[in-house]
Amino acid sequence: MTLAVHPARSRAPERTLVAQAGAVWIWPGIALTLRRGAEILPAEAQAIRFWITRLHGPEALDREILPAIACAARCLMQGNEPAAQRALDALGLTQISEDGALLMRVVADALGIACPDLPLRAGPRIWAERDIAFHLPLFKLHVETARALAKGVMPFDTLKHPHWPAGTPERRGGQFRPTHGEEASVVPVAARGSGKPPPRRPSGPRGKSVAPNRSGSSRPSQGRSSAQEPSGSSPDDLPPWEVTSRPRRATGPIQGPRDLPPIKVEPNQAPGIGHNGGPPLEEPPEIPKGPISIKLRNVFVKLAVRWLLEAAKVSDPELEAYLLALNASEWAVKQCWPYIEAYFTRPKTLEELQRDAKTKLPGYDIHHRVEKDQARKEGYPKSMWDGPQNKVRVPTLKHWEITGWYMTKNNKYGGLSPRDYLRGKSWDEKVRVGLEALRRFGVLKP
Amino acid sequence: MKKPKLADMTVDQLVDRFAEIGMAQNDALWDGKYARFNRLYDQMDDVSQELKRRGKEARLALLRLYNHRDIQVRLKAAVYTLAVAPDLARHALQVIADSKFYPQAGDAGMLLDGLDDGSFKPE
Repeated sequence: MTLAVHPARSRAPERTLVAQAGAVWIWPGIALTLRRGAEILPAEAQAIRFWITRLHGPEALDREILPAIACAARCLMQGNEPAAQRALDALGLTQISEDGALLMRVVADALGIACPDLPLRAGPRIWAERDIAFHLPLFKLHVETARALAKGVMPFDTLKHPHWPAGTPERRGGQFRPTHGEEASVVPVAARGSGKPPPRRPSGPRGKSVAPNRSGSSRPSQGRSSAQEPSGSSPDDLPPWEVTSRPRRATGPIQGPRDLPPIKVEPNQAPGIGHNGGPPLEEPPEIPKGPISIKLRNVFVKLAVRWLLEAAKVSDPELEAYLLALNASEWAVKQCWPYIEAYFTRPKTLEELQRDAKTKLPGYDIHHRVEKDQARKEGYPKSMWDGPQNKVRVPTLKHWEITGWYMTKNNKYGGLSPRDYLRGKSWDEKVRVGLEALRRFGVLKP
Repeated sequence: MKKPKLADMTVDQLVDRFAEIGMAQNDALWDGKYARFNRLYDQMDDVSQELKRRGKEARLALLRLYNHRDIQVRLKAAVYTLAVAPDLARHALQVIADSKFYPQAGDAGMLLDGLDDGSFKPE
């Protein structure tokens, strides 16, 4: 495997998890804890697992990740940052997966940051080029958000981002001059609003970030741990990772490990709706962060489905990012995901739909292909309108759409609604229209 | 301000009115306000009748709504031009049916089925 060495890589801190300024962060600056009032709480379990396994591989799940983050959060709440860091170090996440290494390199180049100098764990490559490309916007999104928020306490000014004096031999076009200790850095979001700037690390010459380790060791402790509450205070005063003032691009294609082709990821150049002169993709609906009412859930799932359909038209990377974010939200998974997932299920045969109707499933409704109220009022026996032949299980959102179609006036029926058109019609005609609707609304296989 | 009567409106104004109603229909469908949709259906039908009264050229003016950003407006423009531009209108319906944007995709598909089996005869 060949991984091109980032210019700043050898000088980078050698951890992926740090406790800093009231939060736990994973490289390159993604918060794994949240602040609620005076409390510091771990992020959603799925989100924590997701980010950690991106870099350390699925093997990281063997470790006591969640208790360690919870422990670190408690330490941070007590103001004991060193203890929080030790809880993280005790996880022993000292190696990165081969996929994680490649991802790190791509992210680092896109963001102009350094990679932690961690050893690789030999193992199979699972991701292809598209997987790396898919993850890049996720990392960028989170880091850029953190950067943007950081400006709240670290204004972008010439003191922190000075220019090179004219004629300086080291001058580099498009980059700021280093300040020997005052480089811009990822500032933890948690520091925002604290009223004080985050602690800074001493820094060496240009590009050289010194991550002082008072214990004299740059390596976190090895081995597994059940994340016991650490004690004492011999702090690793590890600051945020270095961020250059402007993202750098890789100078050449990144050599993928082994026999995979070189990766050519061009961030921010993915095709979008706007590329064809159409309207830009709108912002996706905000994902619920807590329990929501049924009414709100219904609005959310409709909005989410509509947005996903728009995004799918252009295969925008935002689509996959949004799906991941949905799956990382406990409430979205519990309350909304079944409805969204059901909407996108493939059409099924009538036999499958009828068989499904014997079992209830979240995200689905039982639909009567001949409307039962009308059939009952017209004197058809219950065995017909409530029998297994008449029942199909359909995605809830599709059910709403089909019901709406039955209730609204339609040119095809001379201005009558399908429901009014079918009033008094034969059973066969009701069945025919019912099946046609199921097929045309993407529920029944043609 | 009181809205002008349809008979006093220019063709362009009628087409704009048609589009406004179409967008309102889409909102009504989105909100599940089907009674409101049905009232809007009647209003759109009135606009269409006025265009029809003015002749084929006036009805063809709806073709400019084939590129409207609202799918409901595109759907209705196609439906109401089937009689005067059948090939174009049918193609527009097929595009909507294939789009998978429901409920309009479903409605367009049902209309195509009606055209195919002769149960829907546009006037």
